[in-house]
Amino acid sequence: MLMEDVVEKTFQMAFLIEDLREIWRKTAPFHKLKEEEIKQVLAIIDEIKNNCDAISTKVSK
Amino acid sequence: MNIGKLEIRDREESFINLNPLQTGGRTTSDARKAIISFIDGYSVCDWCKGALHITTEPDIAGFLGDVSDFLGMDYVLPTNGCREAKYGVMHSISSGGSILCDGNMHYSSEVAAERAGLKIYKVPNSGEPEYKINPVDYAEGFENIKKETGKYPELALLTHVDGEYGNFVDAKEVGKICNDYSIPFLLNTAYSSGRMEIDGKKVGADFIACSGHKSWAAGGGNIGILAIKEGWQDKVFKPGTNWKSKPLEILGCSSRGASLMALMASFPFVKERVKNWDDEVKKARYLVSELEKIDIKQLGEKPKNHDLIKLDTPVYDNIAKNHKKKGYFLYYELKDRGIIGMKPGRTRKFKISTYGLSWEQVGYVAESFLEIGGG
Repeated sequence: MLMEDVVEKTFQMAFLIEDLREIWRKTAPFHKLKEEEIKQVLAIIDEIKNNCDAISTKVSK
Repeated sequence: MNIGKLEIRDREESFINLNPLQTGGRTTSDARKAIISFIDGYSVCDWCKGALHITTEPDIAGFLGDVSDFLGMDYVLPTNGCREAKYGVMHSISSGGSILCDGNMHYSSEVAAERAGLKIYKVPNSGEPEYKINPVDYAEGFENIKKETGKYPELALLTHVDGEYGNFVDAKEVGKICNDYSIPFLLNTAYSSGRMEIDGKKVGADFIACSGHKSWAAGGGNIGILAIKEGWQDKVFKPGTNWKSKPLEILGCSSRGASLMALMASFPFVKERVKNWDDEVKKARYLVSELEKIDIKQLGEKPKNHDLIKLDTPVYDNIAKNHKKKGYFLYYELKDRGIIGMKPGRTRKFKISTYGLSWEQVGYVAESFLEIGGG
């Protein structure tokens, strides 16, 4: 992975946070999530974790 | 949570926000991604070709063409806001004559006209309780100005939907009268374009002023749009004498950063959401019908044709008289239920907006107001 990929992954995570934020906006104020929304939240978190792991691996080398 | 001395703003994530000023400018996730990416100063100028509106990377020029088609107009420039768009028209047209405006006009229209050296005349509204603007009164207004000054006004302005009552005026009727008199017609769509479909040619508008941060799901700063009809570009979009690519009325380049990118990023969403306008009106009407079950009266035109709702609420005013929190009780009762957007201390008359809320959220808002009012 090139260092520029690290930057791209950082942006990807920032963008994923915005997708997560959008779910909180649509379900305010109680955030009672429907089945589909739970899936979306978990998928977003997984993707953030994957990006974190990739960056972690890169900078630790 | 703080950012230095700033408290984070989580009003859209943690609450249902009913502030009419803010509901149509609530950003999309794509807008926020664009803002993050283009957050630095002059970020849109990486590949400058000499002026903002001809920039193709990012494709601002292409976007402006698309917006022009969307509004049924011929040329478009980005502005720093709707008021700057209105002022640009007024300033380019004014030779010190007059302007006829609706009596529900926004203060920014009035100060823009004053700054442009135009004498302001108003078409009065119908007064309590509907405060409606009757389009045919524009003809009478033109004649009265002619009688008083010897000349017809240089410009007519209509606030398509006003920010006080959320009244929707038939712009086509006003446009026809203006066209009959050959008086240029400026349509202020701060509360309409971006929420509902507007075809400038069909309504006979010479100019359309829009607010990106009020009704086009844009943020990250102020952003407006000025759309004009063919024939006006040499006057309203006139370039500087020594700067041939720089339109005078936007001082060459207007919004040079994230807010324009947010507007562009939200545009695909906005093009789709205007198709759901009827449902937005239904939500407003539903909320009004629920609230009027107790001692609450909706002000402005009935039935509603817009999401901005002005209410007269003696029910809360009476409770406030004996409540330990006085006039602030309503604000806190709503906040406890996860609803904000009301001005603290207001219990007698206030404005709310249902725009962009789900039916579930609208139902909850209705239940909450009724519960607090003892209904």
